[in-house]
Amino acid sequence: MVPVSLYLFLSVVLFSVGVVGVLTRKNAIIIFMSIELMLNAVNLSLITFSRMHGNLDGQLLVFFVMTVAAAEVAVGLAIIIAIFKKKDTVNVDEMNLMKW
Amino acid sequence: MELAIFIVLAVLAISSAVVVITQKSPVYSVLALVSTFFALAGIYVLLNAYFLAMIQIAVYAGAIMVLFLFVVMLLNLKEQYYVENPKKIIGGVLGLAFVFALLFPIFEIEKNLVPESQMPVGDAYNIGIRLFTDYVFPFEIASIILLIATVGAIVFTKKHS
Amino acid sequence: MEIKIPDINWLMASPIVILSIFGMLTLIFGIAKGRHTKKAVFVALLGTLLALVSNFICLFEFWQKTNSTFSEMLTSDYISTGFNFIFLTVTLLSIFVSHKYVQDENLPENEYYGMMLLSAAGMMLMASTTNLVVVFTGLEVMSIALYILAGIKRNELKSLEAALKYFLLGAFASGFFLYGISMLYGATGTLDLKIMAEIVSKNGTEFPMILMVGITFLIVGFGFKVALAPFHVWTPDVYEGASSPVTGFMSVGAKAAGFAAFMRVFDVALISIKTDWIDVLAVLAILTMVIGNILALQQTNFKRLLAYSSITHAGYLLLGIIAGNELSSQAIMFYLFSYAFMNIGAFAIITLVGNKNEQFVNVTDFTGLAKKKPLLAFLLTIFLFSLAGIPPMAGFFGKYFIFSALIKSGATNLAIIGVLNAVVGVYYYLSPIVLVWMKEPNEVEINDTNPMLKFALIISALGTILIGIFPSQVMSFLFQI
Repeated sequence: MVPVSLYLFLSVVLFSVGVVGVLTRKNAIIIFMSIELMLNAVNLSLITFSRMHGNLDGQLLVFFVMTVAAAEVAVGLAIIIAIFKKKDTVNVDEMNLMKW
Repeated sequence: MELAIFIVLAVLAISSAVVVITQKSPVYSVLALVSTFFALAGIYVLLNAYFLAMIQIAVYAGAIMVLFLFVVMLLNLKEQYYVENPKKIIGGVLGLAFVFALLFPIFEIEKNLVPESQMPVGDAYNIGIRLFTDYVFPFEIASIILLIATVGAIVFTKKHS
Repeated sequence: MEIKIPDINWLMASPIVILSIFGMLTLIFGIAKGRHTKKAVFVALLGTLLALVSNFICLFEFWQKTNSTFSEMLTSDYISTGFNFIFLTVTLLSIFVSHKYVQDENLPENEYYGMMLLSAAGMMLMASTTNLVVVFTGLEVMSIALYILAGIKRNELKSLEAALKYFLLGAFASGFFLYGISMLYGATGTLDLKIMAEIVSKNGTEFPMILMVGITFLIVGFGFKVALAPFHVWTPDVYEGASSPVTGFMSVGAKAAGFAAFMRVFDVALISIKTDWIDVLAVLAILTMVIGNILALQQTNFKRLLAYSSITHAGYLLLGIIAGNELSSQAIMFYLFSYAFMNIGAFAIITLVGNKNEQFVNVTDFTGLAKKKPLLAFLLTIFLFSLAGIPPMAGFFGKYFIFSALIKSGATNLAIIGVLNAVVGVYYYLSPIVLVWMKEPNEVEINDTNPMLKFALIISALGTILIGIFPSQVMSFLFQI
């Protein structure tokens, strides 16, 4: 049997990798992928806790997280495409019309 | 046996996650992210969340990642390698240390998973029953979220007069 | 196995359901070509008014005790009805302010009003639930619709950049928020805030450390959404880049919704371990007020000025959360209710003076406004006085109630710091007023043929003054005390 803390450890590592990705990368698409990574880490921890407590509530929340992730991807990529059409870049450091 | 499978999947998930954020080319990042999602789907199966494992592959690896790949190809970002700023990398390392320090308490959990017999299995039947009774209200909200997303995608990408 | 459908009380859900249905109707009107396309604004107005009526009915029906339906997913009590009034007022005023702007800038009308209504429905969801699943889904309904609204001027790079920044940081914050929820669930085994409150107060939790980490992550997530100090960096850019009416809408709406959920989580579920989180919030509140005030001093763009002002206001509201007693929840609602009128009023004037393409949104563009349009200058003065918290405007009593709730809970030091900040804040609100009244007019032309916006201005001004004159009556109406 795998102990709970190992599952959570994996979740923490994935979450941290996602956070570092968001903080260090400049490419908006990769930042966005790092956010997806964070959401997946959350899902893993929710499913683990769900199994630990023996109720399904955590798994149901995961279902909604996935729905929201899909919706966010659709909107986010549309925004990125719209900017790319105008500016020919997806580098967040070049988004400097206003003081960042 | 279970532990062995877990370790293999966990190593796969972590290493491909690292590839996602270190690769210069977004195409490789997308592919690495797909493999992270597959590894996670395997881990969901270990946790008896069969329905979510299925959804993970269908929605994440299937729909979401295809969308990502499609956009990366459409924008043809292959040549756009951005020089990374060393200051930002220091920030990233600090962020990593911060998150790790914050999350060490997970090791205080010595409780084990409940045995399989003591909880409803996360299959389509049990999830479905909860979803359409107790969770029917958030389920309806989810439909609104999807509507908003559709409208948003159209607003940003359609040609306008 | 038999499947039990939960009992449903449709009256309780009616404000949200009506608003969502009319949001969709507004979108559908876009498909009907021809003479119907320009009528989206009336559908939106009708929907908001109907929702307002049904919220009144809810108020009188459910004020005595907490009611819930949809298996405890939806709650109706004085907090939810009070916040619904705030959201619906904001939506109503924003529709009036937007009407001409949307036509002039050639924005997609149906999508604009549709997103506005659906976003307001999301805000109402966040305020009328005690379940974290609904808080999260409501938050996302609101946020995704706001990302779209921020970037709806898709011909302009500035607006799109605002949308991208808002989107990336918003999604990042959602990640933290969700991890916080996950930790709370791990520590207590439930997602329902009322059950969670019982578990936490009875025997603490099995895993106190996990709970603390969860609280930290929740604070980060909420901090991004309501623009608290270390997490505020997106605010000025998004406020500047988005269209002025949208900025007015989201500055009040998103903040109110964020604080509604903040209040439910911290002042209901986690109140029994208040000593564990109060210090963190106190530091954040002080930081938020000070940083907001200092950075506001240097702004030349009026929208950025109000962005920093809104950060400072988030600091005062956080003081209300820290107080955490019966009085404070009412004080927070009163504050937000008056903030809705004065802030939307201020953004309405910016919309009007800004003219086509928002070319005149610098503070200096308002120089000598009093000589050209004395009434407009007078209204601007009312709103800025109220934002600064000068009596007898509504903003003064908002601050007054928050500080007295704080003193009642024993945190006198914090209240003193809050008052000092409020005094410092007066300075940057006064400098535009000096420009408006004391200087000779500049060449900026003001085109004020905009009846709907003027109507919104009058309502906001009346609201700001009347709430200031009759604060206790407003309180007793909102909370039926």
